[in-house]
Amino acid sequence: MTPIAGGVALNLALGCSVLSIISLIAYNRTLDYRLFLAGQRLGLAISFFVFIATFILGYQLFISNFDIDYVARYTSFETPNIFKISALWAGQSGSLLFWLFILSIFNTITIIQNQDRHLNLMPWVIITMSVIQLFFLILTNFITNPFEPTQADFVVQNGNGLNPLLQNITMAIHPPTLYLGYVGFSVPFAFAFSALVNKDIGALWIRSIRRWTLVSWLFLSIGIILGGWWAYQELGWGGYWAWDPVENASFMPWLTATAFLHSIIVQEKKDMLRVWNMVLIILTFSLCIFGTFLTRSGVMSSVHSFTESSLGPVFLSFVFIILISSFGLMFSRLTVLKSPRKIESVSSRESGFLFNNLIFVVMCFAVFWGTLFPVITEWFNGDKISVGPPFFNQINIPIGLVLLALTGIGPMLAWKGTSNDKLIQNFSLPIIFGFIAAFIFALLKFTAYTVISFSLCIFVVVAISSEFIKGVRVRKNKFNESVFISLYKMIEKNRSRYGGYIVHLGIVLMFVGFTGHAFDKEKEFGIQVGQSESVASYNFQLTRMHEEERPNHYAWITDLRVTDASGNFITNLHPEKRVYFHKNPDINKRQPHSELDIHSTINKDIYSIFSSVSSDNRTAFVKIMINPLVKWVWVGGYILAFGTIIALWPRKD
Amino acid sequence: MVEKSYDKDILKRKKIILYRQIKELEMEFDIGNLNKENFLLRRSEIKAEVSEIIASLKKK
Repeated sequence: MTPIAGGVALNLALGCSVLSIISLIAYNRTLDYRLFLAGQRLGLAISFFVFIATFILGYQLFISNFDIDYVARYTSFETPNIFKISALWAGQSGSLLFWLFILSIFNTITIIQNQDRHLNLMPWVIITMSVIQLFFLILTNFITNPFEPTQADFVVQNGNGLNPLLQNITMAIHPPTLYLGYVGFSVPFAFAFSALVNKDIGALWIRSIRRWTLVSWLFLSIGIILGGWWAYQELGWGGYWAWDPVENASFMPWLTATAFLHSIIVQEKKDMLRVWNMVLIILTFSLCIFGTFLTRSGVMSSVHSFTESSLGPVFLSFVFIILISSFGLMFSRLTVLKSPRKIESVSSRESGFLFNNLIFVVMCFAVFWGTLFPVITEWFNGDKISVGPPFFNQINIPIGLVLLALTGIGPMLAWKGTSNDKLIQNFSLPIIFGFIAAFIFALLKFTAYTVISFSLCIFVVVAISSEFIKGVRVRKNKFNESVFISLYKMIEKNRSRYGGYIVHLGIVLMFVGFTGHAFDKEKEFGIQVGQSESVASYNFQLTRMHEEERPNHYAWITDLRVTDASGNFITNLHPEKRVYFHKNPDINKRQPHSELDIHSTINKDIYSIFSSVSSDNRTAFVKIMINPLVKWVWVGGYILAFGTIIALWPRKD
Repeated sequence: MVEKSYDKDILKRKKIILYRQIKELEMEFDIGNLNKENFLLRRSEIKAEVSEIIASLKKK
């Protein structure tokens, strides 16, 4: 009975979305406030029915009701409870319902928050959000329904279970955080679209969406970093970013969203870059939908894409509808949108932000082109080619380094222009330190890119640190406070500014981690118990290898004793080789998986992979990777999140 | 009526933004990112904008 109720809830939500749109369009024509209230309440009703549908599916997953096809595909009795819940977003139809669920939460918050505000904007905000919900409701009602019954003539005894790669706590959190980011941008987009319809380019709507944008950006950033973390922990190739199409799908909206986040500061303070901001938010939201299309349509093949689907044409059509309607409306409003103010100086903060926008959009275009080129080629001539890391790295490393430099240059520029004496004063110390660092790294015979990258990191750290030091010094002298009190109060009274600087510091640390990749070392070898092998300056001795039968897999476990060149003990590593569904009589359904073990320190990771075991179970084939500075990527991620939370913290008006 | 109060909200919001810009300007001057000439010039420009907004608000 309950699965049927889930389907009915989706039907009712679809009906409410259509009625909400009709009511609000009618309100715009008649200005009958009752129609607005009806549309608003129907908007809330959509959310209510979607919540019901989602909870029903979640419950069915939890109780392992294999009468539902989705439950049978992605769970089994052996699946741990936490992964039964995360199975909600493991497959296509469930993940689209989950998208809709989060959209409904945000829709509810937006409507409730703005009950007495933006009365001229809210009708079209709700229409836009309802249209987006309608799209996903069409998908989940008619194309990929999560409540489809299992197509079998017999009672299904057990489900397929969750892909072992997804049975990882990081993977349980990664999709929801990514979706919170993707879906979050629907709210700024809805406000922007409404502002265009109403020819309202005033300061108020920017203020409303700034916080939404920052929260969405934070979740998208965390989602991307968690995805990299998962890849590093689980996939066994020793890296965290492979320019995989689905990684790119989340990176592209992140790039335009980052540009948007900076650019709306200019619009809020100086009423400039209005057209840029419209373009950026339209692109960001379109890329979020496009990213979902890339992941779910099967148009690309990657480790994330689990299934072929008929979703593709529908998704692509919706992306085109968004782009055509939004840009069409924008071009029709250009006379209203164009700001009367002009950028007065190249050495101004406005100019820095404009350059920032250009760089991010160029990078986004490069990633977009590299991601879609194989699809376009296959479409035209049937040849399947791949565009891999060499292309993306060749284009994006130089662009990334320019962005890195901007993270230090931007904060030192003043609004409207920076005088020459202040340019010299502000930039001297960072440039000197940067050049000294470059000299030292060049003497150490680092490659050109690593020299430039590390030197720019030093440049940016000195630039941002000097902003903190100057601010603390002024407060300390003015109010006779201790250094720590001054630092705390300075940040507290300027949360956006110093929160932003902390985010920039986080980015710098991540770049330090990225650059460490240039020094990676690896070795693959076969080893038996008692034997040793050297990799870089470390020694690896296999002290034990044993086997274990576990509830949902079979495992071979190695004990590797790691010592340094002097024989000092470093750590014990226990990489495993597992076979999931090992009891399945169909050998093709058994899933082998290498469970890594990583010893992580601030200067390097020792990364061990148990690739395979010989047929006599005596020789373990192991891969060892020495990955310098990887931890800085995750530390940088924490600092980025911390800085964003500071910037988000509300202040009194 | 709705339109008038909306226009008033926009002006009030602009006023807050401009006051914050003055504070930010003073901070930039205190920490040495702005020379005195530019600081005084920009502060007077922003104060003039604030005066215009206050005058507009009084009319509404």
